[in-house]
Amino acid sequence: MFQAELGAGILLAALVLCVVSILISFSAGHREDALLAPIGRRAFCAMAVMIVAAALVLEWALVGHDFEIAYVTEHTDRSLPLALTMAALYGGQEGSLLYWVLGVAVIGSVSLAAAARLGVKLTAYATGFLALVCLFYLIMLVFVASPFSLLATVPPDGLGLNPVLRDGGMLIHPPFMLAGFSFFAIPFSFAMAALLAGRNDVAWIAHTRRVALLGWGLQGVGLTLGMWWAYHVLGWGGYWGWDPVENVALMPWLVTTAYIHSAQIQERRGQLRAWTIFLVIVAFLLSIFGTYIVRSGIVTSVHSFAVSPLGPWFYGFLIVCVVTSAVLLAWRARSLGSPPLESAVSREGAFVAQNVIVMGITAAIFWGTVLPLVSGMFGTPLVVGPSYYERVGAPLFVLLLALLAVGPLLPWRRAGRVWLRALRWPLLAAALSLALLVLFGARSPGALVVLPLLAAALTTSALELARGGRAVQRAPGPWAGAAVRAARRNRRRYGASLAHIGIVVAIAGIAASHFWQTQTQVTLRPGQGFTVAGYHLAYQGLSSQVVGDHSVKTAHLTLGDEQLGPALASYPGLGAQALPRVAIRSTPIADLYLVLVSSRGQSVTITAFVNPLVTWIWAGVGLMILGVIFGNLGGAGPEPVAEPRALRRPAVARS
Amino acid sequence: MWRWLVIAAILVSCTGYLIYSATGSSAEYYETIAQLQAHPPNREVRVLGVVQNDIHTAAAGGQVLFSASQGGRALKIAYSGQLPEIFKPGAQVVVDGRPGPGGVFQAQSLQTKCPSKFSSAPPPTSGS
Amino acid sequence: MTSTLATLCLLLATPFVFWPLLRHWSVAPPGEPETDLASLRQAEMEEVEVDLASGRISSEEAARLRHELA
Repeated sequence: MFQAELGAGILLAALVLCVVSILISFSAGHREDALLAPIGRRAFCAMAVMIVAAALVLEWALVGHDFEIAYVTEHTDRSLPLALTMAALYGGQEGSLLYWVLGVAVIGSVSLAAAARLGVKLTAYATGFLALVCLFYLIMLVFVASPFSLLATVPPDGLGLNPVLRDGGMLIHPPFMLAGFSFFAIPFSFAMAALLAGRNDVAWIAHTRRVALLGWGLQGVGLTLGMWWAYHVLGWGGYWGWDPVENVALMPWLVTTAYIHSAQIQERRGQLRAWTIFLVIVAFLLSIFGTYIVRSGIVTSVHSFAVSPLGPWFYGFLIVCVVTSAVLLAWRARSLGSPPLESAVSREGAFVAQNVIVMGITAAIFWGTVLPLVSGMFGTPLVVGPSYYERVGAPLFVLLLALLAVGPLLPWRRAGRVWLRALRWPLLAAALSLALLVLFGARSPGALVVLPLLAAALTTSALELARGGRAVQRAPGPWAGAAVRAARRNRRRYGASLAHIGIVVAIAGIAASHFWQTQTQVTLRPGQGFTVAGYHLAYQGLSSQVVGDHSVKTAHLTLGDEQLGPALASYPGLGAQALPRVAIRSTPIADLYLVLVSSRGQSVTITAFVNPLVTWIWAGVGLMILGVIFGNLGGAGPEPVAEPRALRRPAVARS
Repeated sequence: MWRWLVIAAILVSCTGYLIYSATGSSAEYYETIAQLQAHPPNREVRVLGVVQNDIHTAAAGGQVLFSASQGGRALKIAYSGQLPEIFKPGAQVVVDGRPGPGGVFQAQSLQTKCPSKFSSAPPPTSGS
Repeated sequence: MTSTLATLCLLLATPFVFWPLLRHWSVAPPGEPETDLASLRQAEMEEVEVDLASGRISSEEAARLRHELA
């Protein structure tokens, strides 16, 4: 029962250490004091340790069913399985704030400790900015939304977890998502520190690139898990609704995707410095904007949380961050000037084009998300639905696909004849697939544009890998050893090719499951059957059983030799309405997706979807993340591209 | 330098136009029930309300008729699609559609505001 | 109770946080006079050699000083 005071006390100590770290770090940075700077950093690390301890105390209270603590009562009960009880750490409002600052503090400490060679001033300022970010969350946790507040009387049992959330997805989707979101604070802090310190070299970009990628990867996994969870649990046959909460999670991820590419231009050629810093800052601001939207309830969303008192606080924090970043950027913008790009038709040009397209998509999503808010200020609010996002997104994604087919083949600095010759392969692939499509009678413009482009993009990425393979063949020694050596030396190129193939596969899956989904709804009595998209199903009967605290009705269907059992689960807390348990039969070709809508006696109503290539989405994303991880392991960074003339080249550090 | 600015300007304005035209064709007004009943629109609108105690299901899997209230006014709504799992009296719903014959709102899509992911009880039904 | 626990935690953290400062002070305490006689004599011996080498004193002077110090 003393866990509440212990947790609150630890968080208070963390808050004090945070303030100490801020004061000492900014002072140390200002004076370039090599003695004070490590003290500021140590205060930050001590704060991180305290936050970890507080999280452990909360977990202890959860597992121990300490219902005296309001948070434990609100999110668990005695009947909840251990895993879900432990997951309540990040499942509630206050707990998720604690989890968020935990991620920033721990990874931030590691990043700062490894940053010593960046110089006293920069590291000290970075510590200060990072501590400022943590300060906001700690203020929330100590004064506004404490996870350790007590109830006046101790209830015998908790309120439990909403049945919709009692799913494996709850265990993995939030932690990845929240962690990914939170890590953008770290490159941001280094960027702000660099601006404040007047540093116009970019060694810190290489240092924080890994953290940015970590955040990107985690959020990518989080987004995919969210899609998978929605697909498996919600029963509407889809995986993405362009809901505001989904959108705000997607935007920082898109911006960081742009950053991954522009950072390469910066590392190799020293160009686009201001733009890259801008991207880092925007990614962080969007992550804070995201938390504001999600926790304030100001935009209608199926994920909306109850309107909470935290909204105005997050709004204030967002404004402070935006203003501070804008001021620093404006102040130092001139000193960030970098040599201009030489030619548009080059790898740099392709990266710039990619950046523009990705930022365009991000801007479109942002507009769609804030439209109700903005228009609401001038009269009746306007909202847009999925059709808007598809209308804007489609042409931009097509452009992106075309870029994927052409870009990786471009050399740095300036493209010549070699590139044009290399283009013939993807062009050939596109032409072939177009011909095949027309032959098979496909007429929809979507298919006729997207599929050939996918074929071209796939060809380009495969070509990149094949080139490596040829180099391996020519190398002396056994093939396996040569392959490993080549992979290690050209890690980034192969990682990128793998990631691009992953993207192509995922887009193919998204396009197919979107454009060629078939759907039907039937009412059946035992013994009857139906057909959907070539699948013949027969309905055997309905069975009921009680499992723990809920009852389940299962419709038994057979597909040839296989059994499929879409079900409805009734929980006492939900009244008449029941939760669907979707039955999904996945193959690499298509998913057969069955939902038991309702039943009357032994008669059932089933909605059946056939979603082609959905497994490709999960596989493609997995490949993409694998490719990025592989491409960024290990020490040596890329060689700066050789200059033909003596150009003033800014210091480029190896990561 | 100018070359880049011109290219950037072209790309930005193309994207801007794309966004503008898509908004124009897909955006719908988010009205209150009072506004809806005062000036029945002839395009799709979105309306928010709290489900009342009169849910009628025509047949298993068929059309659902119910009324939603907001700001003291009630609206009859008909919906034929799949109901979300939290749909029950007291839940907040957001429907997209247009008014139909007999003052019954024909909903094309329906979503319930999920009870706060951070709590197990549905949010307190707001009167406004 | 909460504040007490917070203070306890801070007390625990203080040595870790201020360690670099403590180390700095113990290694080179600022302005502390040499109290060791032997090292004092050593320092003065070295000064004599330096003065001789730079020509500030003659070799007879240096020998006399060295004799005094020994």
